[in-house]
Amino acid sequence: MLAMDQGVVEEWLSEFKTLPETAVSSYAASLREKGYLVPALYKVVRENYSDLLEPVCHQLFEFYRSGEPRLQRFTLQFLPELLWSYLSVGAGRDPHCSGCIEALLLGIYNLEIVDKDGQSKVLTFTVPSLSKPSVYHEPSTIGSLALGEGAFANHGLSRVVYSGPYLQRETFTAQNRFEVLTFLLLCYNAALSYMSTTSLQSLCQLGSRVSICGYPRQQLRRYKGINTRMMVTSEFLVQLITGIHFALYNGESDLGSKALDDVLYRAQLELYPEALLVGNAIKSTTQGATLKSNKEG
Amino acid sequence: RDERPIYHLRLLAEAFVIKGLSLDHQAMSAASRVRLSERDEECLSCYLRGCDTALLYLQELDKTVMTPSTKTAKTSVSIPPLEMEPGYFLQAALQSAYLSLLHKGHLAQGTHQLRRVLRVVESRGSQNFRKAVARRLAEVLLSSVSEDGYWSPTAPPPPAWLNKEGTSQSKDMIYPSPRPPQRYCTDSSFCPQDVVEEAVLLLLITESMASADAVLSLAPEHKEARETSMSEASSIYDLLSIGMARRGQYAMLSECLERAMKFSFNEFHLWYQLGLSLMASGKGIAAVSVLKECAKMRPQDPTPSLLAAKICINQLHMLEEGEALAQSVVIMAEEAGESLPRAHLAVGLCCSLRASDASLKFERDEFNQRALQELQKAHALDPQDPQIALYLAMQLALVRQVSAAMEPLQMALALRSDELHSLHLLVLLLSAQKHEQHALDTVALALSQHPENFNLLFTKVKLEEVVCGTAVALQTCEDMLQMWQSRYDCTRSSEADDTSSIPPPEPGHLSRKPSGLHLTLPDFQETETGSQSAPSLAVSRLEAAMSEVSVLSSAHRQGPAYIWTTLERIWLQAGELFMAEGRLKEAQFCVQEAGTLFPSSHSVLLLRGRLAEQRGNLLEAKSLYDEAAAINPHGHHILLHLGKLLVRMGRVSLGEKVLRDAVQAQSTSHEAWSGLGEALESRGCNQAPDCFLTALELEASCPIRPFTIIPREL
Repeated sequence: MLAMDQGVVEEWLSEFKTLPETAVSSYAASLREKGYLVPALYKVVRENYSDLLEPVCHQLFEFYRSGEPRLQRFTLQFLPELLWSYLSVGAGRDPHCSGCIEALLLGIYNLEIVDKDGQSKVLTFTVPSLSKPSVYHEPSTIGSLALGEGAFANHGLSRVVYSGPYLQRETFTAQNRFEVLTFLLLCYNAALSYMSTTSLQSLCQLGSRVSICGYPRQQLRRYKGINTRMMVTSEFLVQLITGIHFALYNGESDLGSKALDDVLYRAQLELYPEALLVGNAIKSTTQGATLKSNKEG
Repeated sequence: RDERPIYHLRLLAEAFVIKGLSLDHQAMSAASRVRLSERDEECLSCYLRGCDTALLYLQELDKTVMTPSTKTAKTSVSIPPLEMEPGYFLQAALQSAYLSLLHKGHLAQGTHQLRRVLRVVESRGSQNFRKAVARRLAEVLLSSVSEDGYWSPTAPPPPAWLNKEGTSQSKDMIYPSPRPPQRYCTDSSFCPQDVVEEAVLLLLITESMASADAVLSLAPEHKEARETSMSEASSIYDLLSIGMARRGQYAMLSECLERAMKFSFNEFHLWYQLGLSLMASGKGIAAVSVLKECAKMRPQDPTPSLLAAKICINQLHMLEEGEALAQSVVIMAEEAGESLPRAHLAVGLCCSLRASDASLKFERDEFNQRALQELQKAHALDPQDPQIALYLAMQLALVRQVSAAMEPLQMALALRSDELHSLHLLVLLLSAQKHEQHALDTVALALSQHPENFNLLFTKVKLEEVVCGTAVALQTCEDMLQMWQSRYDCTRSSEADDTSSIPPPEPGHLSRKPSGLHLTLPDFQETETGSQSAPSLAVSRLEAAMSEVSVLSSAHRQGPAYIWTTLERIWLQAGELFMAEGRLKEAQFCVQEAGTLFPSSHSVLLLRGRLAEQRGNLLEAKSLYDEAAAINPHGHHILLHLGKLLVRMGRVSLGEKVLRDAVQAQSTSHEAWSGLGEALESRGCNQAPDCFLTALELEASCPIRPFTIIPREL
């Protein structure tokens, strides 16, 4: 690590500590201008051995805990890199200093599963129905055939829970690990619109590596890092694919489509229907789009 | 103004768009930045005006067609919308604004324009256009707007978005239409609150339009039209899959995809997606038949067959079918690529499970043999796969090759050191080698990684009973009751209503309100010295507990059955422990508790019978065993106790027959063999020593709980 990077990080570490409560908001806005800071922090997370890792993780957690959305997103942008760091250390069975990353991940998780009043957060979703008027349609103009045929005519506008409630977790165990990681990716995905290119790239890399390490495909991708197979779950892959989908359409089409292929490859080997379903759908829409643009062009 | 003929509107719209297009294509020499952006602005304002005017024109046009002949309107409704199809420049007027915004990468403004257009009340001429717009909007929302970045369809884009696109206000604010087209009413109608809700709504609207004018004819002259409507439908269903999967709504998605089937004669992609959605929503039987169709359409692809095999094994217990499916991949050999080891694994698991089901010894031996071969092949093909290594170890364990099983198991654990089933198998193997203390330490380790696993906890109880005595084991039962209570606590929240189609995969998702129910083990010993006499206390506690449990059970029993089976088993386990200690009253209490959950469960009947037997009520015991055997005629524990009781009651030959059945049902049960030996001995049969010998041999390799408690799943 270069001395300059170290200097940038150390400065960042010290200045937030002395910041008065009232200045947090303007400080959050000014973070954008520190061009050297984010790459330097990536280095700290990637290199894993650096003495700075622990204070950096701590400060990232303080950012998250501040409740200021811009500071929270600042922390979230490192999530794919942190997840990779955590998973690869676990896979290498090298207990070396993943402790502070674990603590950061659990800290974010425990903050996110409750709402402002400390109640367990439950995410819900209203299933739209064509039989109710909406800002986009009037049921009378929809053919009765189409209405009766389904289109959730019989569902009305029903509200369903799609995430939560979750339990507070003090440590990672084999049993809760992917529940926590999947939820963290869900939080990251919710903020995708605010994520930087570097963060999206790091997400695609995470998707590829988690899926192919230890499998023959690793040679194809010429990735020379660890070569043990990592455990995944179908829900975790679905969240990864959701993020990759965004990257694919927002500037990372190469890395994104590679990552999508890699995740699909793994989902196929694991026989995970959920991940295959959504991965196939995304692949098919992108192929449709390129076909169309070829025609037009 | 309204008196003007409506074709004026059309001309106006076309004029605007033509002006916009010409500005767009104008070659600018020595363009300064300012000039360029000025021109862009003007161009955009033309497009926006053009679009609003075109929409207004189509609405007005609709009125003229409808009003003159309202009486005969019924016939005019059947005029296909194609006749109203707008011409080239009108099309351009409708589309140019959003196309140009999206093309420039102005995502927020492009989205906003798409929404503005869609909120305009539809007219017959705008139908095709609306279909395209709705799909495009759904596409943009799903691929480029995240939950936190979402804003309401009725509001302008948030300033942060607009700033990024170099403007401070959305363009329709800057250039308002003098006469805007009519929009859908916003109050009291459904307005999406989240990006997926909006996308799904849009796609449902699009779907209803697409399926209304789908081309279904298979005639050659309609080939192109059919392909177009097919690819249109396909893209709608793909987007719908993306949205619904994000919200875990696989069951609803499968309903939608079922409707897609009418477009999808021999279309692999949509069939496959339907199969996957059915599988994801747990509709096993339908999923298998759809996936089998997929395999027919694409015989070179191993995945559909293996997915179907997975459902057969894990969910449906259709083992022959599963084996045939996996076998179809095995015969592809190298063509199956990296799926080949998994195919062998699937065949192996089917054989192993069929061996456990088989009632005849030669059948069982044959299946076990084949299972072992397949698993060894799988392991040789992919030694890095921890699951294959685990099941190879398990198969060896099942045929009691205990030390041979250790080797692949160690590989499995080296690949994945904290995997539940591997750790559990290790515990059982250690116990089979009679290293109970070591097994108990391993359970503790496994529980540190899987603290809420009841299956492991049951093994822990059994080990504790042997190593530390019943008191410690009972304490664990007590802990299990508490864990059960805190985890599945009783009153389900109202929002998670049963009609919702989210499968509750984790029963932990039931809400955890404090309830009045106290699940604690009884302890009547101390109370005997107290003022209250034991029986009355027992009765009152019993009554209290029972009423609580039955309130619970009648109102909330809809939950997944295994939650309640778990509770039943905890009570029964505790009952057995009390019985072993000779504390019959407490044992009785536990059996009662279990009985309130499942009154006609054979396990409850069995334990009641054993309790009666221990109290000396042999006749009552026999009738209870009979009842249990009537419900579960192959339960070897039931047959064992019934047989031994019959022998005890002097009905030796009938007892012997029942014990033979028990041996048949579970040939590795040393208790059944020794029971049979006793029966034979009592009638002086010289085969008795053989039975005792077999029993001894089996006992030497007997795990603390049967190896089959570890699920065999793909």
